[in-house]
Amino acid sequence: VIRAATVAVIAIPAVPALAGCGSDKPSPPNPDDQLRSQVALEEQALINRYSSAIAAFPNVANTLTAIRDQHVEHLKAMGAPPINQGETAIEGSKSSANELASLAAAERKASKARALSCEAAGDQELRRTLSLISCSELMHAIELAAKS
Amino acid sequence: VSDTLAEALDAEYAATYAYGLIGSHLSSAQQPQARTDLDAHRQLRDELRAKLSASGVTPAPPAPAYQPTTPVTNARSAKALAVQVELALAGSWSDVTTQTDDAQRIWAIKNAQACTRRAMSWGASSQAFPGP
Repeated sequence: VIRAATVAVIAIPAVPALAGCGSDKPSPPNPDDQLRSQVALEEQALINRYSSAIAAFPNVANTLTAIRDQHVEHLKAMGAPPINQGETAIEGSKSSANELASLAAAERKASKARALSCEAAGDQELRRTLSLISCSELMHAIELAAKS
Repeated sequence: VSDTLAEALDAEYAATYAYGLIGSHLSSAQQPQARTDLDAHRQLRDELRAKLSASGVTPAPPAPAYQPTTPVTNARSAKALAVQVELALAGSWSDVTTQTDDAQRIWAIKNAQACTRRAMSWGASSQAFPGP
């Protein structure tokens, strides 16, 4: 970007797998693992919502697919694989503009939730990742609001 | 602990320099936005210097000049530089969230989000993990 000394380069670290995954002995949950699990659940819910919207509104599928793919990256960063849970019905009366506005509101809410999780996290790398996800979801909210 | 603050200060110095360059290539209609953003970065630069001083670290001075990695020759390339600068700063401020101080962490998240908003206002596209 601009070079003088060093402009920070963002490295997304691998985060540990969710507590209990692949282990016979359940380890006692720690707050950061619970945080990762909660964020993963919310990211999966957003992915499902986008899948439904993509099926219902092919005219905005390109925009929605790109954003859904970014939520898949968020989910992976929480140590959870995406699960294809299928699509749920969208209100028949909804227009694509309404759906974009609704998704923009959901993204804004998610961005705020991620910021709160970042504040609460103990692990430094988890904090950094949650801050970046919060920024990403803010980007989604702004992009969707502009297109709605 | 102060490393991420020092890196953020370096990025804010670069941003302050960049906005001078960016502004010189924008139309008069776009100048107010560039000036507002420049003022925001000057304020963050000063806050970072104050925080470093308060923690007993002498803030490094800015470099004499900063070189954009791509040439800025017109309004389009100027806006592209603004996007890159803001996204780099969203990363730098996210690095500051690794600080243990709660108040500093909240301040850093707020600033990362403000940089993200500015990047979008200059035409950034959504990213999974904002960065340059």
